Amino acid sequence: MSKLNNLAILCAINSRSLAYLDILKKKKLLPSTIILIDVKKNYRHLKIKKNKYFKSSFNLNKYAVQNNIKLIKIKNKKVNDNKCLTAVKSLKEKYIIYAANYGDILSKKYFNLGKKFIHVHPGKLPQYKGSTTFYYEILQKNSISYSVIFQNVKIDHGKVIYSHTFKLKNKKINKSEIDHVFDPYLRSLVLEKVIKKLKKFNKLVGKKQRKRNSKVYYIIHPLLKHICIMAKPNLF
Amino acid sequence: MKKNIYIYDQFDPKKNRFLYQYSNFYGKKFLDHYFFSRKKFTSKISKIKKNNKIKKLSKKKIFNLCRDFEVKKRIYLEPNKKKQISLSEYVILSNQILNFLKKKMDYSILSTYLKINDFISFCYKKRKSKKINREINKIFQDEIELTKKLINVKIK
Repeated sequence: MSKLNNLAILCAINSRSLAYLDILKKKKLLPSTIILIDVKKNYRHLKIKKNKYFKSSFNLNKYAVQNNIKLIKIKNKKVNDNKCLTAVKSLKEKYIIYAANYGDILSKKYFNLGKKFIHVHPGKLPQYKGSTTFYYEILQKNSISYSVIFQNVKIDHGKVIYSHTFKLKNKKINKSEIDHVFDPYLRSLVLEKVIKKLKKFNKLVGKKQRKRNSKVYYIIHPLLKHICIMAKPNLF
Repeated sequence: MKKNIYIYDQFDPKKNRFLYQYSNFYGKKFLDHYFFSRKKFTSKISKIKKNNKIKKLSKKKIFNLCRDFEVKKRIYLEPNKKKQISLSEYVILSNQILNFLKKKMDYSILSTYLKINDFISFCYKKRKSKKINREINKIFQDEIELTKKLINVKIK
């Protein structure tokens, strides 16, 4: 199985990480190292459902052994803990896919390590910064875009490596699975394109975001979320 | 109606910072529960005419206040950051946002407007004295009108 020597992934057990690891394996774009933030937190509401898009559960130890990937486990620590920072610092890989626990934001210290953190943002940038932009873009434009960026100190302000807008009219999915199945899956498809680029050119280049038309969104109110999902029966 | 799934006016967003995060999808049932919850609340409050004497807030001010509410889950008085605005002032703000939305629909502002109204409902229910701002009834009537309109446009 081919691995990318300059690619690592910093992840937790969540639907996003599983979608990423699944597609990276399928497309033979495996990272050399996995740093797993192994937090025993009650994510009952974030339970990963069985689905047709990616494996909803797999043994990460087995995944690492089978594919000869170095696995570093950080037990019961948050992403900004020194133990995690030290682990990232010690990596030989320059590019790190970021898929840690939801809501965890990398502290400033990470951006002085000479590493490039790759994040898939659900929304076109700079127009859709912030949270749940996925739904706002559907309400406003009837489309779903994803932007792959290099993270920096300011949230969603990093250089854009790649962006893609999906037309989803023929995709059918259980409407209750959007957040934890469909969204991670679409993110993984966009990530795949970027990692393919990395494999081909051995480096990634980002483009600075324009300041014009930049807007920050906050978590969408559940009523608007319902209107958005119910308004587009063919979209999902 | 069985157990109400519209729970967002039952919790303090400051103490439950993930209240709105990853909310479940329930379909039409959710819309029914939302309307039921709002109507049940307003039925308990007496009606009064809207106060039009209050100075209109600028677009920039509305955006800034909405951002403050999203970040801090409260709106604080400017000179004293420890003291938040009163419930009556939240009601005035809600009215002002509604007037803004009627002129120009902005989904980001609409989302915050609904959260502010959830908070108003939450605060009102928690109060011991119910002899407060009678405009509350009006703001929820207006909200229902606005959301019904949006549902009719978006969900055909």
